[in-house]
Amino acid sequence: MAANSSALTPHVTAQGVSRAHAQRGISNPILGMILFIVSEVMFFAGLFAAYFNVRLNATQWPPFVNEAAFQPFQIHHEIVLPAILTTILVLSSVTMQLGVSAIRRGDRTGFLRNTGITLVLGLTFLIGQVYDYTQLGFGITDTAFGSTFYTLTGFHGAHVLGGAIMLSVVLYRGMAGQFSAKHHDAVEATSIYWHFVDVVWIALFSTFYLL
Amino acid sequence: MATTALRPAATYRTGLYEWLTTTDHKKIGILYTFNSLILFLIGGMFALAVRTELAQPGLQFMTEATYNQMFTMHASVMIFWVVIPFLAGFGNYLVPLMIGAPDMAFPRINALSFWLLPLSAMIAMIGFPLGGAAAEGWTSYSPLAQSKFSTGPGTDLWIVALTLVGTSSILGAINFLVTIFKMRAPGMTLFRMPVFVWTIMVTSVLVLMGTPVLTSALIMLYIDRNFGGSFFNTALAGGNAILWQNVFWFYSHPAVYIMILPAMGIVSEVIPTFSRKPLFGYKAFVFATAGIGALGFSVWAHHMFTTGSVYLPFFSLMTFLIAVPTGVKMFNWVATMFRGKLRFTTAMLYAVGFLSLFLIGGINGAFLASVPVDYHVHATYFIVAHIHYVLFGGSIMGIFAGLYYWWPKMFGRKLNEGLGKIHFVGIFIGMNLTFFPMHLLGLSGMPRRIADYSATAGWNDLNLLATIGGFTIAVSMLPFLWNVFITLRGGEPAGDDPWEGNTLEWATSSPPPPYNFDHLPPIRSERPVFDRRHANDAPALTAGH
Amino acid sequence: MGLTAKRWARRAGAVAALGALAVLLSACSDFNLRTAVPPDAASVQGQASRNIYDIVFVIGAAVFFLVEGLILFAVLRYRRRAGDDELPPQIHGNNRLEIIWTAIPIAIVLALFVLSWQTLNTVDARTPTPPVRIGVIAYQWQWEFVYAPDGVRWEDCGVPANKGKCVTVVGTPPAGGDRSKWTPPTMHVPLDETVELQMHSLDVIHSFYVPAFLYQRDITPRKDQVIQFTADRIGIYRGQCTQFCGLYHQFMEFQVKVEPKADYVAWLQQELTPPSPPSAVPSASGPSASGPAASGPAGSPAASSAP
Repeated sequence: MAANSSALTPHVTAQGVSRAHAQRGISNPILGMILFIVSEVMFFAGLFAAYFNVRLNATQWPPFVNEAAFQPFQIHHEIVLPAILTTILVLSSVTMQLGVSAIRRGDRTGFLRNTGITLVLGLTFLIGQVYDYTQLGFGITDTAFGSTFYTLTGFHGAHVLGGAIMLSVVLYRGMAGQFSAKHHDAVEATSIYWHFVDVVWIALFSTFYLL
Repeated sequence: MATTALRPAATYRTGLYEWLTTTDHKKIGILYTFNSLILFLIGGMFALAVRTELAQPGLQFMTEATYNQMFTMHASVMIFWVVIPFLAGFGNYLVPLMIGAPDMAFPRINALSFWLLPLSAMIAMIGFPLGGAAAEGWTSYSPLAQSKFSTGPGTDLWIVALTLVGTSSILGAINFLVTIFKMRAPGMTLFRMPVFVWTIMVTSVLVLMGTPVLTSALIMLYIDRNFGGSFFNTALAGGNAILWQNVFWFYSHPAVYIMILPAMGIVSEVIPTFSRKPLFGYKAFVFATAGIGALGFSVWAHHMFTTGSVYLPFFSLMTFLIAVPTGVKMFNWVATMFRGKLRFTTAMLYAVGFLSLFLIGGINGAFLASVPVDYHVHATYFIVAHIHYVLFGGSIMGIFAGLYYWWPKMFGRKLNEGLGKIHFVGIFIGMNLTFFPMHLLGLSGMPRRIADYSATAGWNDLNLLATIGGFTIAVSMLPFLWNVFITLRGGEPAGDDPWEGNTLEWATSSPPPPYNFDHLPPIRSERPVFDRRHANDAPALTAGH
Repeated sequence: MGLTAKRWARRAGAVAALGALAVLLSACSDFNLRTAVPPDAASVQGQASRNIYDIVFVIGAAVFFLVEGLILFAVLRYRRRAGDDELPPQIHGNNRLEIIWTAIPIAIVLALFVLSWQTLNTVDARTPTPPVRIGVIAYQWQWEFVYAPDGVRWEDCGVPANKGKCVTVVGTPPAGGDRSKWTPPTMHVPLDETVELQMHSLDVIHSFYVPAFLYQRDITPRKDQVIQFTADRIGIYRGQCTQFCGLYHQFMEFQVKVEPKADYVAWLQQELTPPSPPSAVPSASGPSASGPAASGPAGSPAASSAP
């Protein structure tokens, strides 16, 4: 049987990973998060495709609030609040990255502070988004424009909420001392997700307000 | 050669609790298998209902409303709760074993992926007693699927159920990809992986990138139906019915490759074992698989040729081209058998049956790539013939090949070969009796999705024949179910490697221990178990070119 | 269970399959070999489609017999003899073969694509001034065909000012769901003239399909479709909606009657003439009474057709 056994007999550890090739390159949870984000990108791609289809087929752009009343949506004019929200979200990505850099070098205080700021900025974005909804003057039932606008921004907001929950968990675990310079996969994964949420917002903002 | 047990056998949980809470990929794979088998029987009942009604002109057994639910739910069940999960279940069971890993990368998410399936199936079915299940066809085109034309909760339940299935698939795809990329045993380079693992990898990429688009379409439809949205609702300003078709088919076409690639992977394991030769053209096979995956995203609008809303030449060309890598695979399988020493176990019969039947499905698919031909046969029974030759003659035959092949590994005993052969002959004959006449029905103009047909159109006898075929298939399942029952109850142990296989799953016991391997053979090629078996043979005997 | 049982099973299977085929071909009263191919085309475009179908069929059949032949040959020739445990030559592949059997299929599909594209240009070609224009209105679960004279748009046929100018053909829906009472509407068209159909749907997606023309086109709400055909064979051809449109989808049948130009003109004229006062002898046919079109496509059956 000796001829049949491998010199590289895998040693199964409690983590179930062979020590012979342990953790080379990107870790499993982070690769998993990246792949998950690929799927989320495709989800938003479907919604964006709907928006562009609607737009390219529309006879009038921006569309009418009420066809009989001939009032176009003022979307391009109501750009101030969304622009502020964009700035807040971009800033939160910066602080998120600062938090990641902090924990990478073992600076727990800096990590906690920056992650906390990120969470606060994220929640501010959400509150601002909800306020913006109340000011817009059109709803999800107002033509395909209303449907695409609210669906896209609404699902983005839901993803921000999901990110805020992840940040809260990371913050809690961080305060409990569970992260170190060598072991902080959850922080890396959360930061990648948060940046993705930010990029989607930039695409949304550009599409609806700038194009 | 130390044997390291994760936990001592004495505390190994058994019974219902273990099955409900397990995160072991092997048990989860078995759960997938039985869930899909049960739903295969249910989906088959819906098909029998359809065929019973169509056997003769005139509505004899059910109302149109019921009939429309039958064909809608038949297709939905077979696609989302049978074929896709059956193959995911095989992937679950085999991928870690085939790459020498102890489990999948995310075992708890793996369990979640499974349990979403029976839950979502129940949600879809609960429509039946609650005023009617979904009844617009599994393609659910708008405006027919809008709340104005499809009242009742059936469609909404269907939407929710499919969203859950999509979630299950996507999580599974992430799991497979991380497992395959990160957890291969030393020596197992990508080009030494079994072909089945390659097919799961490409399939997982398709799932990852395609399924979320379906999810977006389902959500938009739900918003149309329940929140006054106007994505696809042409009655309201801006709604575009064709948009639904584009978003839907953008997923649903890759979905058919999701349903066939792993079945091709199964056949690519079975044929070499029972030919006693390696798979001919391993690398070509891998590239062909990747090619099908890539091209699969470029052909979706061939389902929409008759809408007058798509750029026909592009989609026709891409559809023609996708026949090429498929043909390459066909030739490689046949070349594997050439100069081999073929053993016709039931698994091998199903694999060769796959070749014959999928060939027909591929050829009649090439017919459809030609737009003028499609203008004639779109939405007729010709399409139904095509669908079933590729999905039944292809996927289901591949699934049965896999079941007979890996059953001994999963349960420690082989399925009875005599009953298996009866099962095969019945299915093969029944399948052709049912679906070959449909080519003729379609060519002469019989549309699909009709509860009844004109008695003077000349379709009566072919429909009766197809119904006889359908019942032949149904009856043929009985020896299989009996076979499962008696094998699970008892029988001769199969041993580690009953078929003289090539790949790593045969290097451990049947069934494997929880941690899969006590020790791994050296991995120097894509056939490590074959290499070990013939390690002491004279080199000339195992040489090839 | 070894080779013998398997061989028996396969032979039994083959015999059973052949037996079924024999039953199919011999005893069937309404099956004939006409259904094994598309219908003989009744239109110029349909003939072009039929031609490309025949080419695709021949190539498809050739590929089928070639590959199936190879499979059967391998299965029969390379069976393992009982007791033979020696390994066959372990051939891993052959790059030259791979190239050949990739290049040849590419050439074949490219040729088929080019031929199909050319045919498509013939089938979908449109002339700018077709002599005959017919409005087609599809709704759940009925067809209406509207013939408007020159100068009147068929969409405007319902307007009071156009009363009596258009002919609307509507079928009679089955009473109580009984198919035997169904009268599909018949679209009359002249032989050898280009007919343009302007198609409109009132509710969901329907599809206008005439097997004898080897042609169908989906009609989506808010996306009217225009198609043209030139019928070149006298006859009455069945048509049916092929896009699943709800509960009574299977009832949406119609007919196309291709007749000589003179007959077509006479029919149109007769449809436009008000009916003469009823005579003492009751009229023979059932529900049909020709007359001028009343309202347009509001779902109310206007004049019904005499097939």
